[in-house]
Amino acid sequence: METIVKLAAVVVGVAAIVWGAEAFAEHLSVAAVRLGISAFALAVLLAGAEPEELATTVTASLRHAPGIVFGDVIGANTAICLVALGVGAVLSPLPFSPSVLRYGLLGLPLGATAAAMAWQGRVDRLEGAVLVGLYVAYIGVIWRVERRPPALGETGELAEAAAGATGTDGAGDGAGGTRRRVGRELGFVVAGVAAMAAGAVLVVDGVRRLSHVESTQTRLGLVVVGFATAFELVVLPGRRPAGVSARRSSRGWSAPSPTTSRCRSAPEPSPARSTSRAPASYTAPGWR
Amino acid sequence: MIATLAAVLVLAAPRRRLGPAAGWLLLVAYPVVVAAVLTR
Repeated sequence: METIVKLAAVVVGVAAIVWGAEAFAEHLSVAAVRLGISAFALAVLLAGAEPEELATTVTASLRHAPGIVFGDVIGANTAICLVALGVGAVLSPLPFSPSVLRYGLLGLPLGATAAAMAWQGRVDRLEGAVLVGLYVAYIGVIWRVERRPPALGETGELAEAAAGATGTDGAGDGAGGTRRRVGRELGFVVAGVAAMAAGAVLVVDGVRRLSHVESTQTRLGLVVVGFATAFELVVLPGRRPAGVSARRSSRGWSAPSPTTSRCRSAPEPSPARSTSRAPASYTAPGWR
Repeated sequence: MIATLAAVLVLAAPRRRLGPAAGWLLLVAYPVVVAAVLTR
C-alpha cells in the first residue's frame, strides 16, 4: 500500500510537470513577444529546451540524486525517438524535410558530446556550462544559416504569437486590453512554472522514497519518469497529425536538440509567412 | 541514446519520411534498448 502511494505521488508529479510545461510553452511566447523580449532568447527557450526534463533534472540535481537525472534524460530521449516517433509513424507516415534531417545530423555530434561527458556517470559544472553553450550555439548557427528561427520544438509558437500580437493590436482593443492579455499570459506562465516545480519535487522525492539505491533510482528515472514525461508527446490531444504529439505536431517532425538529441521539431515556416507576419519588434537580425 | 537518433535518421533519410514499417521497427527496438541500458 505504501509503495502504491509513493508511485501515485510520482504519477501526480509527472502530470503536474506535463501540464506546467504545456502552460509555460504555450503562453510564454505570447507574453514575451508582447513585452518585446529578445526573439533569440525566446528561440533558445523554446526550440530545444524541454521544460519537463529541465524541471525534473534541476530538482534531482539540487537534491543530490544524479541517478534520477541521468535516468530521466536518457529515458526521455529514448522514448521520444523510439516510442513517440514509432507510434506516430505507425499511425501515419511522418515526413522528414531536408532541414529536419540536417538538424538531426547536426545534433548527432552534440548529443555524442553530451553522452561522452556523462559516460563516467558525472557531469561537472564546467561540462554543464559547455553543453548549454553548445545548445545556444546550435540554435544560433541554424538561425544564422537559415536566416530565421530554427523550425524546432516550440518555435512555431513564436510566429503565431507575433501574428497574434499584431492582429490584436491592430484590432484596436486598446492598451488596457493588451495589458490584461499580457497579464493573463504571464499568469499562465507563472502557474506553469509553479506546477513544474511542484511536480518535479513530487517526482524526485517519490523516486527517492521508493528507493535510496542510486542504481535503482536511475532505473526508475529511465523507465518511469523519462518515459512518462516523453509519452505526453504520444497521448496528449492537440494539433498533431497522426496523433503523435500534442504541442509539437502541427508543425511537423524533426530533429533533436543538441544536448539531448531529442527527435522532434517544428515545421519550417514558409518565407512568405515569416515575411508577412513578423512584426518589426520581433524581427531578429537575418529573419526575413 | 545517440544510436536511437541515428537509427531514426537512417530510416527516414531514403524516402524523407518515416513509414509504418519503420515505426514498428522503432517500437520493437524500445524494450531492447531499455534492457540494454539497464544491464550496462
